Amino acid sequence: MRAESAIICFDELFPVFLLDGHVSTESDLVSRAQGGDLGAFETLYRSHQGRIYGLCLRMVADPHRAEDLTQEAFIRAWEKLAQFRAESAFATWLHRLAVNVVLGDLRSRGRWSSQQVEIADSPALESAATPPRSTRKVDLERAIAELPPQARTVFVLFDVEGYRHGEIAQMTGISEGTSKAHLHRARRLLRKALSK
Amino acid sequence: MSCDRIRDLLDDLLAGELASEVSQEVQEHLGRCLSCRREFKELQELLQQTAELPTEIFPERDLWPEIEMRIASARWPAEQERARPEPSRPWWLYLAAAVLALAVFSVPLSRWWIGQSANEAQQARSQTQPVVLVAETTGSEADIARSQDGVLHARKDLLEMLERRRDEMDPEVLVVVEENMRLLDEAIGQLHLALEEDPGNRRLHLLLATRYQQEMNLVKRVIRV
Repeated sequence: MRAESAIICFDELFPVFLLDGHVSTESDLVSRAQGGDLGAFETLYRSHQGRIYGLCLRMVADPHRAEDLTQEAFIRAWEKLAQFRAESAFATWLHRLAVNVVLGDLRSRGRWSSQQVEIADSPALESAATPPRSTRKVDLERAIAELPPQARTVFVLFDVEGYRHGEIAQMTGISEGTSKAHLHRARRLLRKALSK
Repeated sequence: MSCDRIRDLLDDLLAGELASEVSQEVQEHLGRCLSCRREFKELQELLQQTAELPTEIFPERDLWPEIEMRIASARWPAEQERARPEPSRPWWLYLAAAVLALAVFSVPLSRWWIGQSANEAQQARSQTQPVVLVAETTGSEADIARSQDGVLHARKDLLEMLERRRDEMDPEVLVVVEENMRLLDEAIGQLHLALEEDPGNRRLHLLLATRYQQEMNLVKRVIRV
């Protein structure tokens, strides 16, 4: 039987779920999933898929790859669930794992080290008119997608996801100074794109 | 400090990472330089807009069925299979499944990777390798049926997407894809027939689910070409 589950209160710090008619905390679900309960893991997936897909999509700028990477991240999470200790929040652990999945994919495709053209070369951005306020978020998303991979990765991790340069350096293998340089470049390119 | 140097320091100023005397110097410069002040304001606006981006974006299709399928294919150890009594079943079912598997995997899938790099083609071929784990998995009938329901739903979405993009595809690629799809559909049809004879046969269920998965992988790759 499919587990009947619902998120009855989603708070990043203390989410509460209704699973099979019982109120469960995220910690309960993680324990059950660690014991092999796929229904509990599905509930965890349902509550975190938006964060993880959003992260993947912004980092790779390709919806199909983002779907594959989201699936890969959750499969990896299932495989490594026994290693999760409640020293950090499950969301933090899962997020970090997803970042590593995406970075591994970027490295395997040689996208992490490639040099990219300036954003102003993009015809899509060249044709962008000054946006009305209501479309600015869409334009920002599009401009982020058009960034060179390294600059985009650092921008998404630092400005969108809140990682620090030290953490980014550790995950990506670049120095903190390089991370700062990529962030500076990304912000400059985004301002340039958005001001057109 | 020059305007260029000041602009290089704006990120650090916002992050509060400048030494106090440098921070004071930058702020004094901003007080008297309109151009740098405008740049600083644009940077603040960008960060404000970034902070307002949604923290969640949801995929257009349900990704869970494929996740569940892959987990289900790998989770049950072979010991459980050995511990279960094997129901009696006609020998020809095994033979049919084996012949179908051979037919499907012998199709030269590499042809439609024309134009892709050797590396990508290798990756693509590796994705079409038979799922050996199928022979070692058990899982309950409910788990299998649930996985198949989800896969059928995802398959329908993907086939609709393929149909919409049919006109944009290279005719040569389309021919090869359609031949592969025909063989997979044939195998799926035969497995359904076999399951009518032996509905409780878990291996046939998983073989069927695997064929669906292969078909979806094929369509997904083609849609992206």
